[in-house]
Amino acid sequence: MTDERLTERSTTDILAEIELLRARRAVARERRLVSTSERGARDPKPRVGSHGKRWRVESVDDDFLSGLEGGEDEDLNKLLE
Amino acid sequence: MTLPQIVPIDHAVKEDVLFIDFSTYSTYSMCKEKDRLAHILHLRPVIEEKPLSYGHAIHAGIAELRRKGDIDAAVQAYVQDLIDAGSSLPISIEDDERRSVERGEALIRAYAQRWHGEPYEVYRGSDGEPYCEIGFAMYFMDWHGRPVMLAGRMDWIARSTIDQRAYQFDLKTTTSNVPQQLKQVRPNHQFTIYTLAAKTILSLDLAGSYMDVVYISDRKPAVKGGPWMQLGVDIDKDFGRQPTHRSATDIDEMMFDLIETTRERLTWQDRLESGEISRWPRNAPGACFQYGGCRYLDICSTNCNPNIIATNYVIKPWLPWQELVKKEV
Repeated sequence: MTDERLTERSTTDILAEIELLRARRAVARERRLVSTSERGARDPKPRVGSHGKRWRVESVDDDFLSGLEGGEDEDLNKLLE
Repeated sequence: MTLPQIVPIDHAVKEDVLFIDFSTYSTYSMCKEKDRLAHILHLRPVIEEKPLSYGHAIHAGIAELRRKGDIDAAVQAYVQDLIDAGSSLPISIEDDERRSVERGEALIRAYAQRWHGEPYEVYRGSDGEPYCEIGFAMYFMDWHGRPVMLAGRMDWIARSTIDQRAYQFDLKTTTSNVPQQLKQVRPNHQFTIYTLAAKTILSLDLAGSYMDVVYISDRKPAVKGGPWMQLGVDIDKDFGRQPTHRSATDIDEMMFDLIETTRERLTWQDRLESGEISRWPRNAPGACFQYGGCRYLDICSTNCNPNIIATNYVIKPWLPWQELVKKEV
């Protein structure tokens, strides 16, 4: 592209190309923003713990919770670690 | 010191006058040999000097904006200038070369918005002609009976809508940061010459001058951010203006520098023309690697090899009076 002389083109032609480049960029930008927000809603990024370990709470069922009732907080912390 | 007089251009041409301008003066001061190659031999590189053609085109676009107040016409003038120069600059701002046609287009539109509503309007002569791109030539000394004229060109003169006084604006495109560029208003002989020219040629006492800076960044269009950032332009940081003022003493002191330097330069020119010397002294490496490297590096590094000169350069004489005569007509 850098070797092409502008002499062979008209101002209208050059300005139209600039408009086209910007339009394409705007579409790409829209897509990128949409896809990012869609992915964010569908698949949230896992949180990173203080030691760099990846963990996430997928779901907690009632049986699990009832098993913990009356337990010490330390037990829960160990489980989450 | 006597103020320079206005000399009619046709008279000046007939008398075979010597010309000097700010570019000649500053080039000579930086490196004598560079001045000889540029202004005595009139050598220009065959390959495009992108900073020059790009700066010229931005100037052309903004001058059109001043003349007509029409942004689309300004953009057209900018692109047409690049076409006329046979430029091979890239169109897209995504290119590695920062001086893209697209960036310039965005800069001209952003410039118009950035300074929209400013308290200045273009100064117009009694015939209604806008004072834009004003070429001038004024007598300032003699050299062995030949008149020496100081030539130049002012970007535009404005009238303040607040105090009704005249201000001169000089546009600079730069790849260094704007605050750094704005510091260079004083001392700066270019502004002093313009103050003198406005007084001599146009009978205008300038209330001040402005350095008007446009930053050529390498910023790519942002995904997020405002509409200008999406075009690769930071409308706050890519533009700046710095006012400055010149007194009568400033003009006298500038004339001292200019006359003494011109005398020295013309002495070197006489020695060259008499055959006593074949070239001028080089300031190496002080001047060789500034601003991305001197355009004559390959000449000096091969000790003026004639094959290099014939292959890599063309002769384009600098004839400021031609344009002035055309304007006079």
